[in-house]
Amino acid sequence: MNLDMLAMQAFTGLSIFTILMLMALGLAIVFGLMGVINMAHGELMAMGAYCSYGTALFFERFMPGLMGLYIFVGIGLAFVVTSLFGYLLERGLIRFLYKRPLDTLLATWGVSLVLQQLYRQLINAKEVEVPTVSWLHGAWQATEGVSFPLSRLFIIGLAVVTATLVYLLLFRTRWGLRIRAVTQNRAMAGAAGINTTKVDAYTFALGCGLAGIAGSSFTMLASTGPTTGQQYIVDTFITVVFGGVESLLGTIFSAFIIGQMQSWFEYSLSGSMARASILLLVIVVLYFRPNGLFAAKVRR
Amino acid sequence: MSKPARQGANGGVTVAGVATERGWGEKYAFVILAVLLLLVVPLSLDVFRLGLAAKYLSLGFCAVGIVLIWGYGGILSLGQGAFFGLGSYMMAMFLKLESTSADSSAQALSSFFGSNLPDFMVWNSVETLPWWWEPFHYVWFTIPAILLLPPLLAFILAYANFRKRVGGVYFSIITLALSAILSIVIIGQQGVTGGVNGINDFRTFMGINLDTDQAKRTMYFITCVLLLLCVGAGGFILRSKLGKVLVAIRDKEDRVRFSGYDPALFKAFIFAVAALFSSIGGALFTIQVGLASPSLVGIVPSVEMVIYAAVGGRVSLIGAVYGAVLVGSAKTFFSENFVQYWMYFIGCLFIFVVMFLPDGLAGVLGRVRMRMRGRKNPVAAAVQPDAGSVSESGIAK
Amino acid sequence: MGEGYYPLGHIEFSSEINKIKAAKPDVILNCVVGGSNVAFFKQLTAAGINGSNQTLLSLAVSEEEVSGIGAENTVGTLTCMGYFQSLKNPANEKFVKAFKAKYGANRVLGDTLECGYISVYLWKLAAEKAKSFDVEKVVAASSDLPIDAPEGHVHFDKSNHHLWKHARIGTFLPDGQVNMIYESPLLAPNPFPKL
Repeated sequence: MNLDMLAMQAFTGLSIFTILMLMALGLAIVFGLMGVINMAHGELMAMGAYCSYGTALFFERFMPGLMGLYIFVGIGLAFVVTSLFGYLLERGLIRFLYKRPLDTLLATWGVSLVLQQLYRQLINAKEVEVPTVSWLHGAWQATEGVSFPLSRLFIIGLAVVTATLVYLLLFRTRWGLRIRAVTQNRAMAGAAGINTTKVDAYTFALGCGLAGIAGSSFTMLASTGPTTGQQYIVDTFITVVFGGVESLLGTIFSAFIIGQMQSWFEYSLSGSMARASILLLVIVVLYFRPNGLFAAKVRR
Repeated sequence: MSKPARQGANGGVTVAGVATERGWGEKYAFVILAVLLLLVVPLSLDVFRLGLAAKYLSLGFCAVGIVLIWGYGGILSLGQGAFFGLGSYMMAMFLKLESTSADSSAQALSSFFGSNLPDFMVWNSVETLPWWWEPFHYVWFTIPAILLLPPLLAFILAYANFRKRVGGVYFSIITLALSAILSIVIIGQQGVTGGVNGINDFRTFMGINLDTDQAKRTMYFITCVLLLLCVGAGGFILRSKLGKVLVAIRDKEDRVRFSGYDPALFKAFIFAVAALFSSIGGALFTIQVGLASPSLVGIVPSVEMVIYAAVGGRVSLIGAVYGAVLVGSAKTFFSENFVQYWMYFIGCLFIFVVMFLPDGLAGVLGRVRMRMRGRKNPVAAAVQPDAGSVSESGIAK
Repeated sequence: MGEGYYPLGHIEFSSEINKIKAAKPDVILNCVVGGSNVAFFKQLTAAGINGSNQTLLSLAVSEEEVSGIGAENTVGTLTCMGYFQSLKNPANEKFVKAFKAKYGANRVLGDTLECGYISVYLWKLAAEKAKSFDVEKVVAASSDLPIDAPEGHVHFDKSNHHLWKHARIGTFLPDGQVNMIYESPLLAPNPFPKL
């Protein structure tokens, strides 16, 4: 294993890390801050991906000259559509289930099934592929033996930007303050005059919007189909739970560790054994740290 | 729904509430179920539909187990498919070895393939039977293995986690991961497990042909009897002191701990019991359907099993059976007639049951019954776990 | 030089691609199936490996899959199938024309589709020859049964009742169609090969 290989594998780990982080941030916010288990998170990512698909088709048809830009429009559209859907979902379903996390799990699982079938019927039962923008084709040849695919670099960049924006939102704005207040002590926050129902709705919408961004960016790496969401949900959950549910930082660390582990396991073992090993490892670590890596002590 | 005065401030159920629910109403319901299963259904369905009913009933075993651990233990397991799968595959290995080692077939296979290993092993160029397949040549190993191995695994896993106070949601994710791991490994190691196609193509059990109508009828009755036994056993456990401690753990685990009990032991025990039921269900399923497949091991089927229990009534063992049969029948109905609506149906069922029928059909029946009698509703009283207890055992831990 | 197997539906291939880049193989044999192919090809081209600088033979990619993967990702790679839409024989020309008339000119045909089509007709021929729907009789009648299929003139084997087929290899063109570069004679079916 030479240095080139090392660099490439480390980059692979980095890429997987950012992908997991994008997927998990939305879920961590919803799960960690609100106590809602959203099993439809995967389908929301698919929704974001389909938004990109639609945007690509639209640009292809009407503005082929501007194809290079469609990706940004796609991501923006994905965010808007999924956060809107999230808002409606929260108002219509989730807010009745706040004290019952296991019930939200089942109810959102139901939502995910309905969404999957909707995708199958309204869009396409087969998987659809979104063309990569021309300026993200190929790779950046760093050295003789080391090259980094541009699409992955873009996703890394996107993940960093998104994480930074989320951090700024949560820790530097008034809305973020309200969200954190409601998370830490709902009753007091309400007593202090914060409109907790509004905060809940917006937080959930934000979480779903992040899922949309994640899904939209995956179109560069893989196809999207009705069952794509289900493939992502397990990984996303594991990442969030592994990092410690109440801690966003924990989620980020967890994504990093799992990303690197997956990269190295896949290199040394077969694909399916790698996956099984990671799940097993997570179970083992959870045994030693039952509340995840960064278990925050929060009074509910 | 009026709340009986004796309920705690957080809406948890008191032990007395359980006792009421387990009164003569339950025995009455049990008899009705037994009559339905053993008399009414076999007389009114043809063999094909009877086989389908038996299939749903096998899944009902898992639902009964889930009622025990979820309704009364407060543990939501999203991995019962794993135990179902273990029972199913163990039985399949036995049946497959029987079909390939029986004299007549062994001869034919050897001459055709060059070896008398199960067909999928030959396709995957497996040279010899793996060591862990060997014991399944013998029925006196297979049956005890089905009854003992999954519960043992379940107990160890559950006890280890509960001792560390791994709470509700985390444990649910762990069970989710467990069923995911098992299904990934089964599919990945297709040379020795049959992979995504599963293990199939076996015809006899201990020499008895399984394809005949007579065999199918007999299997149906065996399944019913075993299911009723499991329901009875579950009820017995719940009526015992153990059952009461379990409900107490579900509602206020810390207090139970302070009272000197080890909640981990109780929870692990009931989790193992549920695994036992699932394993039996899996084995019966394989005999009747003629197939062991990873599609019943992973996350999706495991979550579906939870909905069987939820539809029937989270705290009703008998309801679980009805739930399994109803949802299973709906699945067949939709697949036969309106294929694309099945997903909408079951998705909406999840949402509907969770939002509006937290006590399931048993709760609805209970309400109707009590309204007829003008009394308070014991079933609804028994099911108030959501408000306080579940969230307590949830993420706060 | 190396082998890698991934679970169905897997989409993260960068480790595998890194290994490929390090090993610089003469040929990549791609047995990836289904949606994973989209991910695989996209990530391959992103890493700079494509049909023009690497010989890659796919076993499960037909014209239909290419419409999902994107023709720009598969151009120049090889595929091995029993049937290509571009085959030149009267039965195929009729088949393609009728299919597009019914399902739309944008639809493409692949090997799986053709197999599904002739399966029904093969059963029909066997049932007609057996003059019965009885399974045993139909099976017996299918020995040696020939058919003029869009993939050419093929027939059942006498004893194992699988089809004698041509194996064909072709390269993908920029429009998603296949340019056949090799066609084998009719091959005897061997359903249980020893590896």
